[in-house]
Amino acid sequence: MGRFRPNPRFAEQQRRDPRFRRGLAEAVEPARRNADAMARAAHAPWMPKPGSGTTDVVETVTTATGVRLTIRHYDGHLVEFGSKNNPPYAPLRRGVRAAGLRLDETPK
Amino acid sequence: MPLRLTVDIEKVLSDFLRTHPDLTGLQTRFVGKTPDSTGTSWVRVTRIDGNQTDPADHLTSFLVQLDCYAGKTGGQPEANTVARHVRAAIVALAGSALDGAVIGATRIVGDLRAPDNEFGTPPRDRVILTVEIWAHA
Repeated sequence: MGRFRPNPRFAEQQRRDPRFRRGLAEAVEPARRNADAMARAAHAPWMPKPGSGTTDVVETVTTATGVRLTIRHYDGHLVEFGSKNNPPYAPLRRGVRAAGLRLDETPK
Repeated sequence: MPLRLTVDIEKVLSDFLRTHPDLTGLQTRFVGKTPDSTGTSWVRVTRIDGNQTDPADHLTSFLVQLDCYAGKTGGQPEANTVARHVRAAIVALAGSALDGAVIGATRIVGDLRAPDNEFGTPPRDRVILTVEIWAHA
């Protein structure tokens, strides 16, 4: 009779599997589209990154261990969190919620 | 039939924090926009989101950002102290009835220390709290 041996590295191995990351990227695409539309509604980008052209404001970045939504320009932190003179437009946080996903912040 | 208005979460939250017995000693101002005088600490309360959760629009899932700023000389310790007190007060708020709202659940979604560079040099110390609050009138 077989015996079940738990794999303590299962979650880490899953995260590193390219198929898993591709699936994650597909799953976050609605959130990315929402966030991009919300950023543009706030007239972002305010400080465009040179060479970015007219591509999306919010992009999906696949890393070795997961997938991130990122505002690609220099003003990302201002657009998202605001400042002394700017309200927080929060396109990333609102975009995630509008896609029906649970929001937890883990900024980098 | 009278209109059913959602909770004014910014006012409810500001009033609650402003009069909280554990926060009054901090002498922190709770405001809706950056005050003209930035010498002493303040918390700017901004509603980011307010999702309808049922057809009657009775219960709302709010997302609120609280920018906890230090005063001119308070620095990182003051920003952290204000934010920690505000965070604790909001966590304890779950299940309470306030003037203007009944609070269901609260959840701290984000707690980020991000000094504000728009004050020049040195940047003004600030902690950004993002909280999810479920409430109805």
